[in-house]
Amino acid sequence: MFNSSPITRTTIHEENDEDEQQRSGGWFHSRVPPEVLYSIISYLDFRSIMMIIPRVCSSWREIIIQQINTLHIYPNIDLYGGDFDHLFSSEKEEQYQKHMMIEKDIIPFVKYLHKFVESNRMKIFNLFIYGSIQEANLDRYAPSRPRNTHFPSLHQQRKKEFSQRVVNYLPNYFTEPTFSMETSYPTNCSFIKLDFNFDSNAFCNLFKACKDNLQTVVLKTCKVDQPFCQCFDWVKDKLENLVLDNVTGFLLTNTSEFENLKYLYHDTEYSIASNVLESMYIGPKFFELNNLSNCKKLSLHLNYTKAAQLNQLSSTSNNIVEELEVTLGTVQYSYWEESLSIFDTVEMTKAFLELLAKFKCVKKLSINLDGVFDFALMRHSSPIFLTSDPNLKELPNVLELKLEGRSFFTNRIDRWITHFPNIKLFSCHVDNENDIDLLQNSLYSLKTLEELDLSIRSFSYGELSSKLIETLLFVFKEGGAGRSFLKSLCIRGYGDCREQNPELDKLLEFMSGYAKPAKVCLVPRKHTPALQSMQSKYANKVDLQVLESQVLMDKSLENVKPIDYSQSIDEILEQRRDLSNRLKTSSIICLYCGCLVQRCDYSKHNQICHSGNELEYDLKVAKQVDLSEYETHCPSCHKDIKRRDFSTHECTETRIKLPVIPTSSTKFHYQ
Amino acid sequence: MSETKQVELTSKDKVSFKVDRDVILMSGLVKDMLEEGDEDETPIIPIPNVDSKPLQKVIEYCQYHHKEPAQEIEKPLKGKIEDVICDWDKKFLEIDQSLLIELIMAANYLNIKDLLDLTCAKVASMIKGKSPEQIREMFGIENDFTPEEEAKIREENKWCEEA
Repeated sequence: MFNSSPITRTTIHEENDEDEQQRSGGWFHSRVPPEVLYSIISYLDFRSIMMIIPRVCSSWREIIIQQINTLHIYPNIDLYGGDFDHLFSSEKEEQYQKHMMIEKDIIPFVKYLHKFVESNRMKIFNLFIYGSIQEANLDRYAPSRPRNTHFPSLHQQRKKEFSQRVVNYLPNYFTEPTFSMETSYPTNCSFIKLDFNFDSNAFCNLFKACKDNLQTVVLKTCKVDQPFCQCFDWVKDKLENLVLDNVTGFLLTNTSEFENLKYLYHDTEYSIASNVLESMYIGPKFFELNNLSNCKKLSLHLNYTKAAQLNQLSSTSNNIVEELEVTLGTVQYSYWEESLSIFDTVEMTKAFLELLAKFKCVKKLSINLDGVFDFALMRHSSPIFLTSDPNLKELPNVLELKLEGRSFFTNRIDRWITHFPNIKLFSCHVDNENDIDLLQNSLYSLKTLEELDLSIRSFSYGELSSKLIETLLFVFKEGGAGRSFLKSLCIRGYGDCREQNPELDKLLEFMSGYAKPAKVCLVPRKHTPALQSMQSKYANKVDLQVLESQVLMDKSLENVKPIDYSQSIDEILEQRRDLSNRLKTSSIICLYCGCLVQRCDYSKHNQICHSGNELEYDLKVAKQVDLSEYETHCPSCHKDIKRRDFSTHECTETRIKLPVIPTSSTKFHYQ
Repeated sequence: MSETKQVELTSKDKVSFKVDRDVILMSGLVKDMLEEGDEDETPIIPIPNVDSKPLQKVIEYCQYHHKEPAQEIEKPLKGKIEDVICDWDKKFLEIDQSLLIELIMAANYLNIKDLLDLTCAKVASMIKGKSPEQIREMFGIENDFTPEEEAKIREENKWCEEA
């Protein structure tokens, strides 16, 4: 028992001048040190930081001038009601018109910043520009919880790493790179993309005012022009981080002079129609990757990329890049249908493998195949992707391999993985029993493997889970001499809900024999007594985390009354609409990462954090693909539901019913 | 009788608090101090920069959040602070302005990042949407700009208005 109440009082705190100051509030200034004040203002909108705070008093102004090293430019959120996402659910024409005013909104602020930075000789290390009013806040779909897990999602990892990479970074979720796992970042509102051509001088002047110290430039959802691109000549010898996230018109004449560029994140523009001329392609070909002599980390999101364009990326072997993330795919299904023939797919795949093989020094390799492209590869009856490649030689330096995409297994991953003989960390997901067989073969060849991160994505989770555990036990226990210990294991979507779980018990028993406790993380579909007992049984032997995926509904749903059908039809419909809306905003735990997300955001969360297994993310794509019969699995009630009905489906775990009425006699169809 | 290890914190105004060791380990400062001490005894740790009132609030915060980790508060604040924090935190922050500032200073001194973030975000929420004059009035800050600085500020904002 602890006692936090005062136990001894030896001195009475007497009132003094300081207390008098406290009452008047005048003491704030003298007591709050600059670093704490900086921390306070860092929570403000960036316009307030730069336009309000410097006018409070000289010391507050000094903090802005001395300590703000990052500029964030994005639309004035107050002008749009403070909620960007809300705009796109609104049909009000007045708000719609505001979308078109984005340049008029941003440019005065850019001019103000130029003047302020220049006249106060501020040192600007980082320049972030976001030119849209949509989808800025991906954190909503990829929340940072749970904080204490050993196995954060890839989105979380990228975000953390980025913030560490940027010197004196002032976070701002509007301008932060999306770090999205998929290639189909929405462009349906590309007409509101910030166009630098509106007032090129304003951006160029600001860039000039920052050029002496600029190390990081992040451009997100904007259309730059040639004069602005030429500004990069000023910083070519000092720029360390460059992020081009959904940027159009970025052309550099000579990348070889970016001698200090260490990190390049390039999400190419893909708003190009399928019949576009090759010459109009605005993509990473303008970065001749071999010319980036110090760039150790590359994150390339290759959309609408064809084989020829992939070949342009790197003409010779690259001995610099140590971390490589590649997302490959097409965006709109119609584009793929019309333009990505089987021949194209094969050619693109070969070019992609050739590109990979050029990165001889890569230690960390992450490959994400986008949903549509992934599907295209899966449709082939023979495993063309990974087995027919004559160019991919052994990549002995690869220590970490993370794969997202279903076609890896259909393309015989077990053969391809032999190219990476020294892997210590491996991540992938399995869909069926055949995948587990192939995984077993793969793991056999990975003798140095120490960390394994697996996701189970199938409707027969229970059987798959127990088979997976058996396989792991077999491989790591009976895998022969010279095999490394499995130091950490994460299984997302673990589905064995039996009361007794002997396979898992044996695996944990085996892993508890290490001198240093192994880390094990399970994200189960249901928290069972078996898992609970294992947590206590192996408490001091294995660092076991069980991220509960039990139903977590909002409290507001606990006291939901059943719909009273004796009411008038309007009242019934009103009650149902209310219930439907409350359901959409209720919370649910993701089975793959343990994050708590809103039910209506679940599909998008999957798309962003766990790759392209949720095509409904892009509604345009969904329409064309016709996902009416395409089902998803509810983490709460474990039913398979049509995707379009997911957010409002009848979830038995919540005891909330949305009965299928009104009857035909009412001649009304509830939407 | 519980065997939970405890530590004794003594505030600036000489008030002592007994707290579970696990709870107060949320404080980076206390953690560092405990690592140097003898684990078998109930160590007495002086907190000379923090009065008893804010210290009690700090302990209250740690007692709740050492088992229920706080959620990260996004920057910039979206809406009001109350929209992004849990109910417990909302109630916890129902304090007057002077105690809030003392709490910030305590969190800063004791190196409790989550509490510092929460309290700083609360003050930012109070500042949000206010003019420089209103901010000065709220915190009793004197307008100490020289006439030259005033002119410079006017010039900066004139530029903006013209644009």
